[in-house]
Amino acid sequence: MNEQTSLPLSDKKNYRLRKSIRNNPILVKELRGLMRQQRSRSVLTFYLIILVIIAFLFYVTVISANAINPDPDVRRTLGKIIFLAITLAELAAILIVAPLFSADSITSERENKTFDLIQITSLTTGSIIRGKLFAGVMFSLIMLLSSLPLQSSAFLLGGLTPLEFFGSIVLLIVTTIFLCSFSIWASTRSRRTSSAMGLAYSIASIILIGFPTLVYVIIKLTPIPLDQDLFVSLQSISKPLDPILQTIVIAFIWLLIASNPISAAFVSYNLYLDEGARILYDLTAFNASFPFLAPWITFTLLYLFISWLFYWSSIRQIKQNNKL
Amino acid sequence: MSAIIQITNLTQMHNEQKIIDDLSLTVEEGETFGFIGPNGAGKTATIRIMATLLALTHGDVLIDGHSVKSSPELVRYVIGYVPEICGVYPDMTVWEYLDFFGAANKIHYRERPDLISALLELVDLSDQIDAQVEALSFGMRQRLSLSRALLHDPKVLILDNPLSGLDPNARFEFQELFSELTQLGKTIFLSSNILADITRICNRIGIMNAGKLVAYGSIKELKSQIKLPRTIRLRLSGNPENIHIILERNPYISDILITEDQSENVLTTVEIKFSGDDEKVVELLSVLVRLGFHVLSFEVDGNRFENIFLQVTKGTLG
Repeated sequence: MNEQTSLPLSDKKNYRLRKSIRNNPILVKELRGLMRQQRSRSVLTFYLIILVIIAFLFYVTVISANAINPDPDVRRTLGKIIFLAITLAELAAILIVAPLFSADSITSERENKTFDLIQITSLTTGSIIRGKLFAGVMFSLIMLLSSLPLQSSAFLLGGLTPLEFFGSIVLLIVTTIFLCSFSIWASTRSRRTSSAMGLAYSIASIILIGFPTLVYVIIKLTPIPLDQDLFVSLQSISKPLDPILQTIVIAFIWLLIASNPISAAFVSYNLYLDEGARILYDLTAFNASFPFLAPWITFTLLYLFISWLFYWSSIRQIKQNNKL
Repeated sequence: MSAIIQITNLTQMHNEQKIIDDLSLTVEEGETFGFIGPNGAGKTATIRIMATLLALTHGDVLIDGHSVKSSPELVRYVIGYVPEICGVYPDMTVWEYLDFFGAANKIHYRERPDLISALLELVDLSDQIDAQVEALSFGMRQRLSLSRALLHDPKVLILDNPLSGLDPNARFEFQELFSELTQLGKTIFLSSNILADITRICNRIGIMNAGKLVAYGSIKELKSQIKLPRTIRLRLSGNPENIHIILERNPYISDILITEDQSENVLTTVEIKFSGDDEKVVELLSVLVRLGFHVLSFEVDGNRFENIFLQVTKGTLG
């Protein structure tokens, strides 16, 4: 019996997905190329050195501080701080590396005069874009995996919950997928690699630096007491408003928080500490309680959807380019 | 033989300008068709449309019965495309390059090694199998590009100016290759700026100018369709006084130019434009001999294809 027909429907889909990834020559070519490039090896080495330095500096700082003000829970604090520092460094690395390895995916093919040759093969435009996307994502995943032993040292020190670890990995992977899909889209729209890189880095910076700054400024400018639950504060400050307007304001700020991995992670973590909310958070408005998705889940869903839109738009853009 | 390529009323617009204007032509199966024209004539646009790389504005192109408009994916199965510049991946070897395109053409991985070896042998690159593609010479890259286009055993080969930039030896090797491919039953649609090669390789020719097909047929047909005055150069000994009068009487002769060379023995060179056919040329020579002229040489600059090309493209050289 055929291997495919004997599988249940969900397994069949997984089988097709696995097969489409494994049998995608673009993915194989891109990964082979990436692994051969001196650039990849240098980036990976430099990245790991930086992570080790960061972890060491934080370790020394916390231990020195503990010598002056002894903390009985120093191991847990150290574990949390090292984990947080490494996760932020990974995010920064992804912000730099994902556009670097994906924004040239289509423009370099055009510059090498190979794009026409790929287009006239049996590969669909979708499989070309998928191959490029998976290759970009995989390189970032290799980076994340390579730093896993260092990140896991936080587990040895303690103070880290599986949710924090799992949540951070999900946020990093989703951010990678988004940055790669966006960079590829920028690459399909640009004639030259430099302009694709410029576009990709600009948007990546807005989302990963601009949006968190905006959230911080809004929180600073509005009279939200930071020692209280953020959303209780939001409701209290928006109370003088019309109920509909109040909901819109809360939804907008909620969305703004979920618009970037940094604020999504911090607010989700605070909600978890305050309310024990992992996935859903109950928000009270109009004398009723509404379940809101935790910001990290909202971020994940929102950015996976946006990534899909960019993937789809990249396919359309390539087809559009063929019309002169 | 049946038509394997059918271009019907193809019109292509770019920035509200017609770059191809109502082009219709057919190419028979197993034929080597030459597609020539000056730069900007619309050759590359036509080729890109045929290769499904450019969406057409009006008309249609059928290749082996499949429309580039409605079923480009089926067209891709039957065509092999060689662009003017062979795109390469700098970090790949020759084998990896062909293996990648083999995989992209859905050729099973077990079949690929033998296929690649056979193709490299065909294009005489077997000894370069492990060489970096980037290190290959231009001619080798063109041969590699041809082998890439042949990976999925296409019926039709569409070649966009593959001979430009090649040295005479490489061009000759390509001509040999084309003849081998024709023997294998491939149809070749070849665009080139090198007229001498086109006339040697192709069965039929289409000449494009300003987006229009201005001449179409075999070289013999084109020569008979487009009659151009031939230039005849005569060298006579001595200084024949009445040659001008005799030549003027011939209705096929125009533009008589007589020059004398008195360096050694007196020689007269006569250059004339002659619009008669081959029979009339023979007649002219026999008349001159019969009248006692000492004809030392008699050169007929035939109805050359270059002249036809220049005539139909109004002198716009490619």
